[in-house]
Amino acid sequence: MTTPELYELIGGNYEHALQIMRKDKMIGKYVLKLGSSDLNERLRAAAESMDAAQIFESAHAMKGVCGNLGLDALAEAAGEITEEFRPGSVRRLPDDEVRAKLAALDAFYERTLEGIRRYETELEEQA
Amino acid sequence: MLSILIYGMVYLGSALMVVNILRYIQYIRHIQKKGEWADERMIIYIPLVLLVMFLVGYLVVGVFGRPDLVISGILFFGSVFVAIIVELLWRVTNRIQQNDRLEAELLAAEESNKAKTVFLSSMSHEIRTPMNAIIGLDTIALRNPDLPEETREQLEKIDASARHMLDLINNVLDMSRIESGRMELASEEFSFRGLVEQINAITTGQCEAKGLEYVFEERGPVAEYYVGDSTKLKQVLINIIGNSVKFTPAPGRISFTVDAGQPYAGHCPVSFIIKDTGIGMDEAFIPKIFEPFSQESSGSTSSYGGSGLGLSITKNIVDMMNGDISVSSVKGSGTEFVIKLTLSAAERAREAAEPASAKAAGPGSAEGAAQAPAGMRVLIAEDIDLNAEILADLLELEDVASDRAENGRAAVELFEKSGPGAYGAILMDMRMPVMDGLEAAKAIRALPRPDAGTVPIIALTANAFEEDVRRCLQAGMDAHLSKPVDPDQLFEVIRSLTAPRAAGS
Repeated sequence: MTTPELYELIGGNYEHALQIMRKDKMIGKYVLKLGSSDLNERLRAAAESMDAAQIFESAHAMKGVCGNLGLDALAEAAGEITEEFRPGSVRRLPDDEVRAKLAALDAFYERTLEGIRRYETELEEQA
Repeated sequence: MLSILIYGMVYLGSALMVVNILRYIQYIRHIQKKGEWADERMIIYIPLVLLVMFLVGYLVVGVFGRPDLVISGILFFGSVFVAIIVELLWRVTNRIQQNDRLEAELLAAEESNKAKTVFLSSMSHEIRTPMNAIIGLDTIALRNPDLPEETREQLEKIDASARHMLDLINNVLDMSRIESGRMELASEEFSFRGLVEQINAITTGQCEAKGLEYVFEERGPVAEYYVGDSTKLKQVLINIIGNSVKFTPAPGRISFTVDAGQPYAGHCPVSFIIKDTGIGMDEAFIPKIFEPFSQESSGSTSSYGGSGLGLSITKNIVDMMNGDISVSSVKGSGTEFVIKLTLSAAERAREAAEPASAKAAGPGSAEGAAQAPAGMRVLIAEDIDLNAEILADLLELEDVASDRAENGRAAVELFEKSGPGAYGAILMDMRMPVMDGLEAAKAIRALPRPDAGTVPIIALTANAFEEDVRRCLQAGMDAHLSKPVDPDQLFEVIRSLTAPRAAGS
């Protein structure tokens, strides 16, 4: 699987990623690092506690990283939650909806990670 | 005959002495009350002793002796002399006390002025925080695609009013800064082309919305880059042009002309002429327009809005730039403003490529990848590991080394520990735990080392609203880039912020 194919699989924007990281090699490198980051754990911990600041920080972190990697759809989903919990803004969504959105984001992120794992395995097989 | 004269002088002299002794005692009491001369008691009393000696002399001579002309003459004129001395003493003391009082009054006035300014500044800051929240929330609310039309209109009006208020507050803050002498002019290279394009874009929009014609013209040797304060220059031009648009009804015409004169010895005279076919002003009013809070009639305030401070701030800025601003107007016909400034020539020659503007965060240049000065070291302040790694790698591609700090405090510490000039630039993420980007920038700028004030600090913000660009600039940051960072923009900004300095080193 090439990196552009991976991006198609996980709903990322390869062109955008190229703009940011310039080299296919870089994209490959960092996409793999995503797997070993603790972004989803932080998000899950925040979903458990439902603490506003925690949710904001973890969603904002996820949005930032995904944005940097050109994973635009994921970044947007994380962005929704970020805006909802931005300090100083008023909550629009009720708690259950937030939980649902957090779960959906988690699932989306998991699917992304799965795709990346497949990509990684194929890379190792080729090596 | 002679004895009358003699005795006359003796008795007059004695009377004068008695009076002066009394005055002198009064003087001593006065001085001691004021608390001065407390230690110089001895000196104070010497004249008193002399006075008493004189009086005794008089009494002896006049009552018990036989005074002649010479002696009485000496006594008399002596006492006149002493009387003059005492008079002078009184006068000098009064003058000194008056000065002291004036000094105290001046100090009190300055304190009160300072207190007023501090009050204004902190109030303005306090007011701006909820203002930004209002604008932000309104913007978010407007993003909802399912808004009923009426609600959308109402929200848009709220946004316009809120931004207007923010404008007024910023004006008041500017004014208070000017009056307390704290407004400073920056002096850095900027893209004149970029400045003019921004102004034209804004004005064209305003004119189209109002149905006015807008004409822009350039005359003379206008350079691509100048050295000066582009922010304040833009503020001045937008203020004047904005006023012209405001006071010109449709159908009408606004013209903005940039007229450059021949540069001489690195000085470039530039005139900005703004003409409109608006409602004009009364002859009598013209001399007053630059005064704060003057608007032609109170009736017009409500329909035309404005804080009444814009022109006053503009004039102050032009004065600070050693420039000249003049206006001519015919009521009912139109107005013309002429601003004459002398900008300094920039070192950079005309470059066909890269329309660089250090403050812009627009789409990356199409002319190909920009490059950073090689061999530079950058300080990255970013809390998320992955993002920091990506940034480091990007910089590495252009031979730029970097050190990473996990939050604002670590960034300040790293900078402190480094030698002067070790870091060519600082990339500062805005949102970090422990200490955020703004605080870190302020802390770094406040450090007592030669490069604390000059090291370029570039803010990395998630979106343009999240951190008010102005707050970034006020905290001492030089530019901002929005995340995710486009490497071309990143290097462009770094290069344009470091190039003029590199030219000197």
